[in-house]
Amino acid sequence: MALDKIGARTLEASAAAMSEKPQSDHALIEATKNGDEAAFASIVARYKSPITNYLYRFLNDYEEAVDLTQETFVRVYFAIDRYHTEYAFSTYIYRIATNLAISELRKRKRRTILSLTGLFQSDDEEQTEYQPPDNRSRPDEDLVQEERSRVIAKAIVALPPKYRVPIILRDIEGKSYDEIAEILDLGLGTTKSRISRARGLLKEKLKHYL
Amino acid sequence: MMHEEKNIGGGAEYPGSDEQKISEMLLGLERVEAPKDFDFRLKARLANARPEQYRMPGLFPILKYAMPLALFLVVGAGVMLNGWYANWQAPNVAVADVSGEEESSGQSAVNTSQLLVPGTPSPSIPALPANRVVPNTTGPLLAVSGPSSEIRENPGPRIPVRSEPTPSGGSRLMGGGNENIEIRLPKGFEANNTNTSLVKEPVLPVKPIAVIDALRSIGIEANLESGKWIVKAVKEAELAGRMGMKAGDQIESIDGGTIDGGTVFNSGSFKVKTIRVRRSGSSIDLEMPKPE
Repeated sequence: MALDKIGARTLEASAAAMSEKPQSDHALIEATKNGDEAAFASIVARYKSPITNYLYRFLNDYEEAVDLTQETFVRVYFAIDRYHTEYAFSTYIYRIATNLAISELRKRKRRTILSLTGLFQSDDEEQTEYQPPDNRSRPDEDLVQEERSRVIAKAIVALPPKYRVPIILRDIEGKSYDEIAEILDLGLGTTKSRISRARGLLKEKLKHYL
Repeated sequence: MMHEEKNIGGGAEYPGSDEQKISEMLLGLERVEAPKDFDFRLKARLANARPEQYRMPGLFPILKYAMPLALFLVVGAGVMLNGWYANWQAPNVAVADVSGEEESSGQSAVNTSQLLVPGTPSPSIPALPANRVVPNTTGPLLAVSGPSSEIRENPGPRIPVRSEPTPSGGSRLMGGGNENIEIRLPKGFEANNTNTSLVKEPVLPVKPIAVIDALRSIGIEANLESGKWIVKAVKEAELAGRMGMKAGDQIESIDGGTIDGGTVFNSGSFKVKTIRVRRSGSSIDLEMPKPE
């Protein structure tokens, strides 16, 4: 594999080296196309946490989110020649991640249909939830906040995907409406409408916290 | 981090509203980070990945569905066109619009010498689409059938037609009003009989029936051997069995008409009263059993 040519320089080291001299996404992509593996490591370092967070909020499953984030980068790496700079790279990578997440939801749905145990489980039981390990001390207020976060996360996951994706991108990832419209390949009006609708649905679910 | 900075103020379109509170709630959610071994796992994954899995699929997946669909459409279109063409080519019906203008020019729309010959095709009649009728509000319509060449009278409103002999040996039909037509009659038809069997309705084509199919329809399996139809098997429960047909019989004639390898029945249905067979050197007439 070409990535093995990195040699002693690990991905982290490469990212650190690149951070000293920040480069645009497009420049890093061009460098990756020319065989610069360190440039790809910089891209990974730049986007791995945002994409992981985005997918985690979408799926409410940390391990699955990490797995799909890695799959996203694998696809970016092998399709790097097909990437054109007419769109922002962040739009491109979020679009890949979104498509993977939606595919994963479909797979889960099929598994749910095929699973005999699904007949005897409620939806709440079926959703596996994984919180990343956190060894900090937990005062009471943190526990309350954690419970509140858990309820909010469940409310987000309960949204239909067509509302879930835009509101995560907008209110959690902080994307602009234009970026979201490009990522989802929707019109600006439709995007705004879906976000507004998603907020309305969340308001119903979270009215105790308002 | 860049994206965390962009989060500030996200979704604050309606300050103080419930939407604003929802946005702030979502913004306040703890952000998760990628695990520490993310790069290591990604590197391993890239090393184990097969690049061909991520290549563009090409045209094959499209063709996999498009080709059978295209084939189906082509075959369907072929069948439809074939049916339409066969229907269009059927030389069974010709319709003549009888008008006074034709009479004044001395020519009829249809050469009626072909009209009244039973059992023969009409080669000179132009091929027209079946059931194509040219309406004439003032005069009758003449329709000519091909193989059967039957001329029938339209069951619709009857228009009186009279005939009168012409010097050419035919007869001139006079329709009600201004239409008339000269019909040359074949031998055996009297000029003064033509006023009773004028056709105004197109006749559907009659499909000829081969001898082997006709015999099969009454329970006989026969082979053509040296121009003679030899019975190979008889279904006793069917008509042939009740007539007394036996395997080994040589069929000589059906209702007086001799049959050979080229015989076909043009009547559209096969009806039989008597079959003459040669059995043990002598000819026997097998009669259709009378219904009980």
